[in-house]
Amino acid sequence: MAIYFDNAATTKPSATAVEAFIQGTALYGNPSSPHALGAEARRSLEAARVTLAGLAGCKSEEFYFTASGTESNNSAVYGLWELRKRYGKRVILTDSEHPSVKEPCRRLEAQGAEIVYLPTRGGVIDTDFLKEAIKTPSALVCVMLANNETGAVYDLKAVRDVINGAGSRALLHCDAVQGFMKAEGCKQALRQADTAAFSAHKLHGLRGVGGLMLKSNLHPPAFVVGGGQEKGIRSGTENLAAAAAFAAAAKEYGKDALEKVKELRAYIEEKLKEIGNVGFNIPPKHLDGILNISLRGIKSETALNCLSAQGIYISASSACSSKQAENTVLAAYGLDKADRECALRIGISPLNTKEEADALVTALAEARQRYGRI
Amino acid sequence: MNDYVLLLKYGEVVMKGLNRSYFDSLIVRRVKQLLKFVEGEFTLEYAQSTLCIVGSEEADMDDAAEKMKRVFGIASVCRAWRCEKTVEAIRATVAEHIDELIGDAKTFKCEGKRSDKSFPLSSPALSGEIGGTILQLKPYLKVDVVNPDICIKLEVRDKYAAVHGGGEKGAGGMPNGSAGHGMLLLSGGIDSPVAGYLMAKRGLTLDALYFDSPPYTGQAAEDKVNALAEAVARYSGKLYMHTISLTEIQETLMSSCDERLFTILLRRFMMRLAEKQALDVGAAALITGESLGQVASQTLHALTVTNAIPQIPVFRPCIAMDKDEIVQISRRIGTFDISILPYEDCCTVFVPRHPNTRPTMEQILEEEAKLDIEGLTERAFATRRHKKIVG
Repeated sequence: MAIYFDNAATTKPSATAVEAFIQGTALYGNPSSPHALGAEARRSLEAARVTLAGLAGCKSEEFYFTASGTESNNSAVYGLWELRKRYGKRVILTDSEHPSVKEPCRRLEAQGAEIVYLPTRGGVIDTDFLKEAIKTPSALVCVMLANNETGAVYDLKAVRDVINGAGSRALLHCDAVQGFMKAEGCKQALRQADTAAFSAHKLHGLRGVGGLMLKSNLHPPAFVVGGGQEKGIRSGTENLAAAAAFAAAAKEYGKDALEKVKELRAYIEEKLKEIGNVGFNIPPKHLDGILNISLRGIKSETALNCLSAQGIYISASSACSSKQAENTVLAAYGLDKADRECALRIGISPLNTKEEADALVTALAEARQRYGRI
Repeated sequence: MNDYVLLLKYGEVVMKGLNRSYFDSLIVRRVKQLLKFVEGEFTLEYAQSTLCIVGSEEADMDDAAEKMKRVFGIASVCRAWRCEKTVEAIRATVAEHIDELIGDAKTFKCEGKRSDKSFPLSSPALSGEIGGTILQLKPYLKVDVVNPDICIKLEVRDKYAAVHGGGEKGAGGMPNGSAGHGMLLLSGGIDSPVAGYLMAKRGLTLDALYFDSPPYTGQAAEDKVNALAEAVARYSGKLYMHTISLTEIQETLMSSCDERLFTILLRRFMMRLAEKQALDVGAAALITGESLGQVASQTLHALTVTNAIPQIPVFRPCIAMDKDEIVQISRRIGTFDISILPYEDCCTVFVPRHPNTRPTMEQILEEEAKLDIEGLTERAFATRRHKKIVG
């Protein structure tokens, strides 16, 4: 039986989500069709939208379905740039953004954008740096809600205050793929953003569906054009069943789930302290579901392979071989090379159990004892 | 007769003497193997050092041509129209396919080649005749015999004539299997797949041997090497991939031997195991991607001590190549992008900080005296697994 602690990479679809998906597939009408079958599908799609918008703290007309978090991030970056490039060419993003934000920003360089990386050492936004950086007319600021490697929850309110305080016209995009439903004060944080990206499969929904929050006063050019679905913001026949599953999964990821994850994380941390010589790479504000550690004495990849052979799955979030590109997120966090080489990411979900946590920690300790040699 | 055909012009094999038919048969076998994966039916006709592939109506000739460019022993691949051996038939064929032949060229020349001397026109006369036709059909074209945009070839052969716009470069080399069977030491790096390709090009069939080191190396690294083997097999034909685990040997070397000699001692174990595996499957040579002086284990001193192990020859086709030359080949054969994927392989686990680049045989034997060489080799050999790879 698999013991899955890689929930920051993706999650197992929950029974509720799968059930909602199956029910959704019965509504096979095209939500754009004017006939009764289409209307039935449309109602279901809109119900999912209302649920998700409510959870994200936006109006339902501000929530659009896309095919992935990556697509949402791309659309937001390109769209907001188009809206604001006349006012400033600077694009500010944290040095720990996900590649689905970093890469589209880099592409904007060809259009004259000046990319500035906002430091997040220790998992905290350097607001002083931002205050200076924003003095130059800027088009766009990208700050993720929670980091996928360290779990750091960034302070969007502080970022918004700096932008407003400087009188900047820069728009704020938030990649909420990891943090949605999981970060404390998620709704309030998202209200600070002009756009935000979501993904279903990080919270026990299915892959292939994402969400984009776009403030109703903004009208960026569409990134995917065609039949004009999603009010022209994202053409393509909606993945209704997956959208319904997304809403069901998000609704389920409530207080109980968070409590369970918090408790389990505390338990794992305690257990890890017992085995000793573990570095805890924990930012002051963080998601309980992401625990980044440095298991000193064994290379990440060796530990991962060892556990994988026993059916226990975690993530090695480090630069573990001379050939591998440097893990820029952990370097940005301020971790030294030795601790990066043995860094592991444990992704905890409400579906995990204490027994699984015991097996995980035991396997880590055994792997280090048998194969540790850094 | 007016067929769209592929003409495969033989390369070095044409210099063979009495055993020529053996080499020809190997080319035909490889061509047939590859055509099995192409949509349509094909018939092969051989004459005058050229293999003519005739496709059925639904045959995907473009796909066939691409695959034929991977057949060793073929110097060039021409997409041609075949017709009766008369001036009128040649003229009609050129006229029918003029747009495909000329494309967007502005200048052209015609090059007649008459191997059948009984044909009424000489080669230059045929060129002039058909060149005139082309000018009538496309009056905007200019003749340029020195540096034309396109050279229309008119081949008058023994049984038919063929018209084409020049050949594409074939894979060259010698037919698969004509030179025997070699065991390729395949790592996840850039050099070893290139070495395998180069020796396959000279006619070796291949088996590949990969050394893993679980749990220091993982499934992702093995998948990567399988992908490399598949890329090589696209040229070499199907091969067997053998995997042997070095974990115990590496751990023993780390705990018992001089760290500076770790890599070289490990390379000697690899050679022992590779030779054993080669003999087991009937391979008569080892192939490595070593390049002189590239890393500590590839200095002349290091190669001397690793080379002392196997009794069978070790082919190192990259030995005199610069890294960028190797990279160039790896890009061409499609292995580069796989090679640069970032996973540990057994060579990157336990890398000594200061390797000895000038090891002597005495030092090595002294270190090896501390080890149960036979036991370690046997136990590692017992871990081997096999997998068939089809390119």
